[in-house]
Parts: sequence; structure tokens; C-alpha cells
Amino acid sequence: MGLSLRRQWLVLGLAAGLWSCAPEPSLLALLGAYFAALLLLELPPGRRVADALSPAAVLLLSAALAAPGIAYGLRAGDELLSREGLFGASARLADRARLQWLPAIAPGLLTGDRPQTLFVYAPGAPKLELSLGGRARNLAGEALGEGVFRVEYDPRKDGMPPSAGGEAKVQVRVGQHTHERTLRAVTPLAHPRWFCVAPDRRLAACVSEETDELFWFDGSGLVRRTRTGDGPVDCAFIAADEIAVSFNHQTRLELHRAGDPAPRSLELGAPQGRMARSPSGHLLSVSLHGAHPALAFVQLASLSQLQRLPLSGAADWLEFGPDDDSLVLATRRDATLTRVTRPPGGSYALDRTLELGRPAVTLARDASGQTLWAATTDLHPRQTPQLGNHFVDDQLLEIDSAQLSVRSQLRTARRSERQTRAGDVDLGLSPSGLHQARDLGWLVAFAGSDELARIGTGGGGARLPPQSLDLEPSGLYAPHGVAELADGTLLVSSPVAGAVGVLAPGETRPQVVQLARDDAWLLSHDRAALARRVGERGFYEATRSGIACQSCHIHADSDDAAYNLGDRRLLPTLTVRGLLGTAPYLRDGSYPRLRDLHEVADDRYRGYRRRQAARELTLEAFVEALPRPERPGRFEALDRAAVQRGLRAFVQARCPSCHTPPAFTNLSQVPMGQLFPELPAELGSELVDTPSLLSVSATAPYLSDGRAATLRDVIERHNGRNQHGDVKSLHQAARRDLLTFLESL
Amino acid sequence: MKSLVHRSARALGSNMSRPGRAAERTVRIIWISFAAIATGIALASLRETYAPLRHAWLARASGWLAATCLWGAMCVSPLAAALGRTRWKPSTAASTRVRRALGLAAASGAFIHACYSLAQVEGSLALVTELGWLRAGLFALICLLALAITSFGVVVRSLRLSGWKALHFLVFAAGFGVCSHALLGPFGQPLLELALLGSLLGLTGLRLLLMAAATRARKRV
Repeated sequence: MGLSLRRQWLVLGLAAGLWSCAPEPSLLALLGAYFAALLLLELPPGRRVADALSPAAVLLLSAALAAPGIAYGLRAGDELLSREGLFGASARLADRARLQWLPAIAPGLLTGDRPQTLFVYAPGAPKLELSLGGRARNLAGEALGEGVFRVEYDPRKDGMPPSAGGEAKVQVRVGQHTHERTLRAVTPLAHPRWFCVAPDRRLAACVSEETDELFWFDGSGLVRRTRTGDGPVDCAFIAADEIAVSFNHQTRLELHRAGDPAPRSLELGAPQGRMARSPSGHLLSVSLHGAHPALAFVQLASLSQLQRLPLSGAADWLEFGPDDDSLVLATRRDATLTRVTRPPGGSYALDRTLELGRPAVTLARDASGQTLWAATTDLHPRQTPQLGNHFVDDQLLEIDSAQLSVRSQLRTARRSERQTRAGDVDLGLSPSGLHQARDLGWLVAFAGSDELARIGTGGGGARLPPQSLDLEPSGLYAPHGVAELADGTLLVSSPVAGAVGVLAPGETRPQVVQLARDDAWLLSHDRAALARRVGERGFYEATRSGIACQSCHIHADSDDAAYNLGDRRLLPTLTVRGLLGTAPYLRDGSYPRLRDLHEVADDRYRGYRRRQAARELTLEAFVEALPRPERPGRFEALDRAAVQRGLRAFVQARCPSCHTPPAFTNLSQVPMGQLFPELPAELGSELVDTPSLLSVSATAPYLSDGRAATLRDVIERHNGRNQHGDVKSLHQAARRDLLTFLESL
Repeated sequence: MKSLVHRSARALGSNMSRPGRAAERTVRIIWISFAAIATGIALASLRETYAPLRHAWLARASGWLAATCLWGAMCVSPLAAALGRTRWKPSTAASTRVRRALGLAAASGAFIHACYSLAQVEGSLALVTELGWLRAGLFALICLLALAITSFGVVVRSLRLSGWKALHFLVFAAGFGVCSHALLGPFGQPLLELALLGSLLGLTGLRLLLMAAATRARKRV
């Protein structure tokens, strides 16, 4: 071993040893330690040591010097990777590479339950075709210009591609060339949710949006399974044996009669949400979603639309008051309850509003209609910030429907004896379903704690019982809907398990009616689906602090509320839909993988009561399989010329330099001050993750802190220095086209 | 130009023997090309009328220019070894001279790139300590500056550095810093940068092989 090599070994050993004294592990500290070691060994004593020792002694001494540094590196390895931005870097790079490997497709997910739009980026290609393989039809791409193609895909018409292990190989044909790309393919399982009950309580029914089915139950269990239109979201009995079904993916309402294979239908011109039948049974109120939210009143006798009442935001829940002339609707967008009334001989109009501060998670009326019960995660009507991080306070509100005022509040979160630490809770979490029983008590399904509870009649005296029916042993995780039939049989639905529990009077363990494949079958045939199911379970399951993912991300969407996330600034809840292939995550891109977010539940929210292996991986599998939010204007006629002009304006304003097609993000993080120099200096150095613009019209409010209410605000009001896109170079007509284009994504 | 290069090398106390004419010409070409490309980049950026994108483009282009010079410097030894068996065999002094020129160009390019990029974003100095990809860039810059400083004999002699040759193996650490900086940065193109990383691994391996061969040869002598 030469002299210089001996010195180098000593330098390396000494550098590692010095590095172990660094207050925090970093490569820069290691480099500093290397330079320090180099200089130390350049000093005369250092030189003498290096020159005097034999090669073997040099190696031994180097190893001894390096030992603390090696131990330090091993102990702080994860922290070092995290500090240097290398932790989870492979996930980020893979997503970025997938979007840059042309022709690229986004989103990288095909779901079998809904029509969807894919975008393909193939610069220079005049024509493009997508071949899904198997029996699925080939899909032609519509050229939007600038190398961007739009591909409309409806699995009901076009068929699902063959998939292996949840992945489908898709061929992209560009001219004479064929490129193979891999997409995630998800065939959802049945998800029975809330029940509707026949007026005589002999039958109850629920729908599965994912599998387009209507399930009929009586006291003996499942009596009928009916195929429906695309994406049923709610049902309402309009007669003893006839059910109205509303849909998310079609504009027609359907009326299914028991035993009749051909349903009647009514065109409403918009996708629908929840429904309520009037006390007299003459009217059906339907919440209309889409670009123009409204309330439709349908006269059942003539099956015609009586009135259409425009709303500022789509109604999530509807219940009639004591008679046909008053109705209360819950809106998520502004977290309110609104009463709609009709004067004698007049038409329905908005009457008064009750601010809740957080949206109603569910809403139900008592038999008289005088009282409504709503579940929510907090009540702070004056929009005062709650300073607790992710503040959630599950409660039931008893509401006087005539006055539209809160009569009483019943906080539901509590603890059982199995909890050991002070402050832990494990009962009464995430109330998701409410139903008035025959004895006028209330049945409550708690999705966060897998239980079914019966409470008194309210009036300020309502109390939750110390014990409730634990549904976990029956596998009915995260129950949503509950109903009681005339013979006292209780029905409880578990969308997660794809099952309904039937609890006969006097029984303590429900009989499980499996509507989707059970876990055992999935374990042997479709492990990806099982992982998603277990992940969905974890999504609804509450931590020991009482908070679940579901608490804020209601049914994987945003609750449209704002939360303090630790720095006393209120930030709007983000949707968790359409996240596949968009690493890193959160506003600042601080989490490279979805699975890493699990540490928040463990560290900050006391962890989960139920032990489960690989919980973070299953949660990731579930969230990645969620399709992106539905575009509100998807049933409106698209002005294709304006969209193409809008794309040209998008390019002219240099938007693609960050919002790069096909996902309309380059997955980068930039300092906020670079885009918005007008912001205060302390915000300017914060990083902001470039969000995907797919479904952007469905994800208001905009910008990282939700300060822009509309897309127009983003490009005009909050772009004062013209740093967030060169919008000043666009004239008014081009800006309108740009908005049309963004809304079409 | 030739005399200028020689005079400045002598003034700075270059620790190399006198190279041949071809090497002098190559060094001259390297510096002229570096200056020409840098000017070209600056002129080309004027085509972009939107200031934020022009700045971003300039920052990226200057970074890539520095990276190209660095990779060029790392390629010199393997290339010289490959040419060693042909009639174009370069002298050790010549290849050292060319490597030094490319290394200095890389260090100056990296310095310009860092200064320009940091000047564009308000508060970016605070971000340097927080963001992994900026720290990686800083790591590479420090390595390159250390190498650049110890490329001058006068500095080496005045500091009485006997281990400066070993220090120059930091060029590979700088290379990994550059790869990490480019890969994790906001405008990274993973396919290109992974290729860069692959080439760096190849060059490192090649260099180790060359060192082993040289040691064997010395032992035989």
C-alpha cells in the first residue's frame, strides 16, 4: 500500500469518526468532516502517524476511527435519506418517468364502474387509438391540438381490458407505431350503503353504485337483486313495492317495481344525488348535481317534474319536514342546513339557513317530521378556527325542523374499558347512518368504531348506552346504513365488507348476507381487491384519538371544511381521489408515498386499536384505486372549438411548463414566493406541490390555502405579478377559452 | 491564446509538465467552446419572452453545461487509456491538462449556475438547507470548488497539501451530487438523469479498473 493510499484510508476513517459528532446526519456534514480530516492529517503529527504506520496498522486504525461513524450512519440512515430527499425517491421518480415516457396516459387508472376520460400526450401525432385488448373495443383519441388527445371510455359499453394482478396492458397506436403502457385496472365490488324503507316497513332496499345493483330485503334477508342504470346513488320507496333510484352517471331517474324487469324512467337532465319522498307520498324531491346544482320536485302520480329550484351547491342530504310544504337540505360546500318552503298554492323557495361550520355527514327525520337528527364532526357556526390539529368532535344534532335551530347536541365519542390511556376513545366514532326505530328511539351506525347503538328520543335527555352492538365479530366493518323493519328485524349495511347484516329480534349476532365476494374468496382469487377492501376498512376505522381518515375526507372526498393543520392557519381539506401516479403528496409534497402518511395516525393520533399487518400498504392500495372526482359539467355539451382554443391559450400562457400534459402536472414543488411574490415573506419560502389539473373544476377552492374560490380568480385575481402563468399575454376571449378548457379536463 | 494559456498556467504555478501542442489546442478549444456555448445559452434564452420561464431555462441550461463539462472531465482518463494502444496515444501531461480544463469549466459553470438560480428566487438561500435536491447541488458545488482550488500548484504548495491527488477522487462524489440534484429537482427528467447516473457508475467502475491495472503495472516494475 502506497503512502498516499495509506493517508487516504486514514482520512476516510477519521472523516467517518468526525461525522458521528454532527448534530444531524447529512451528506454536507460528511463532506465537512472529510475536509476536516484531510486538513488534520496534513498537519505534521498527522503526517508522522501516516508515514510511520504499517499498512495493516493503517487499516486497523482507520476501522477503529470509522466505527462510531458507521454506527451513526446505520442508526440515522432513515433520517439521512429523508433529509437528503432520497427517502421514497424511487416512487417519485417512477411516477415522473411514467408521465414523461411518451406517449403518456393519465390518469393511470381504469375503473369498471363509471365512464371516464383519459388524456394521452403524444406530441406530433396526427391520430391516436387506444387498444385495451381482450374483448374491449378500441378507443379513438380526439385530437385537441398541441399533442394532447382526449379518449372517452365507458366500461359498460366498451368492456374492461383483461388484467393480471390489477394491471392491464394497453396499446397506444400512433400512426404505424404501437406502444404498450400499463394501467391500473380496478373492478369494484358491491358496496351497499344507506337503506330506504317502505312506508309499511315490510321491505327495505339499498343500492350499490359500484356494481349498478338494487338490493331488496325483508325480515328473512335478501329477497331480490335488480340490475339498474349506471351508478345508482340513492333509493326511495314511492309505493309499497316500487322504488325510485337516482344515478350519478346518467341523467335519468329510474323507478323499479318488484318483479318488473323494465323500469319506468324520468329524464332530469343532470346526474342526481340523494332523494326524499314527501310525507303524503305525492312528491319526490331529488338533489341534482353537475354544473347547475338544483332541487327537482317530481310529481309521482304523473311522473313529471313539478319544479326545479336552483341551488348554490349540490344538496348532500334531504328530508321533508312535517308536511309536503317544507324540506331541509344539507349542503357540504357551505356546511349548512337550508330550509325550503312552499306557501299554499305557491312554489318552493329557499327560506332560512342554519350554519353548522362542518357539513352534515348524515341526516334523518323522525316519524312526525318535527325533528331532524344530523351527524357532524363539529359545530362552530361562526367559522371560528378550532386550534386543535385536525379538530374533530363527532356528535349528533337534534334539530327543530320548524325553527331550523339546534335543540340539543349529543357528543358521541367515548371510551370503553379496553382503552388504557387517558383521553383514548373507541366508541361512538364517525356516526354514518341514522334511522328512527319503531319505538321512536334512534338507531345509529358508527363507521369509525364498527358498532350499532340505540339511543333515546332526544329532547336533551338522549344518552348513548355504555354498551352497543359490536359488529366487528360479524365482519360488518364500517357500517353505514341501518333500518328496522315492521317485524323488528334490524338491517345494517357494510359497504366495506360488501355485506348486509340481518339481526332478528332477540338475536345478538347478525346473520351476514354477502353481496360481494368474501375475504376468503378474494384471498385465493384476487389479492389486489382484498388489499383494497382491507385498506378501505382502515380508511373508515378511527384512531384512539377518535379521528379517522373518513372524518375529514368524507367517503374519500373533501368535506369542504378548513382545518388547522398545526400552524394555526386554516387549510381546506383535499380530496383523496385521483391520486394514483402523482407522488409526492400533501400540499408541499413532503410525503413521497401514500403509505408514509400512516405515520401521522400512529404518531399524532395515538394509533389504531385494532392491530393489522401492512395497514399502510392496504390503505395505499385503496386510495390509489379511487377514481378522480367527477367533472361537474360532464353532461353538458362540450364546446370543442373553445376547448381547442383554450388549450392553445394554455400553451401560450406557458402553463404546460409546470402543468405538463397528460396529467397536467410535472409533479414538481416550487417555492410559493416564485409564483406569488405578493405573498408575505414567511409564506414565500414555503414549497407548494404542483397539483394535477385533471378534474380541476370539481376541486374548488383553489391554490394551496383555498384563497381562490373559482378558476377565474386563480388566473386573474391571484396572479397579480403574472408569475403564475403568463395570463397577461391573453386577451379576454382567450381567457374565457382557457377557463372552458380547464373545466373540460 | 497559446501563450496566454501558458503564461497563466505558469503564473498560477501549474503542477504539470509541459504538454504537447495538440493538448494546448484541445484546452484552447475547450475554453472557447465553453465561452461560446455559455454565450449561446444566454442569447437563446432571449427567445423566451416570459421572464419566469426565461430565468428557469437559463438556470437549467447553465446547470447542464456544467454537468457536461464534469462528465467530460471524468471521461478523459478512460479515453486516454483507450487511445493508449493506438497511434494517437496522448501523454499523461496532455490528458491531465485537458481534464483540468474541463474540471475548471465544470466548477465555473456550477458556480454561475448556483449564483444565477439562487438570485432568481427570493428566500432561496433558506431553502438550500431544507431541500434535499438543493443540498445535493450544494454538496456537488463544494466538491467542485475544492477540486478547482487544488488544481492550481500555487495553492497546493502554499497550503502544503500532500494529499491533493487523493482529494481529487471527490469528482465522483460531485458526480453523484449532480445526479441527485438533477433527479430530485423540480424539472427533473428521470429517464435522462438515470442514464446520467448509469454513465457515472460506469465511469467510476472504469476508473477503479484503471487504478488496479496501474497498481499491477507498478508492482511488476
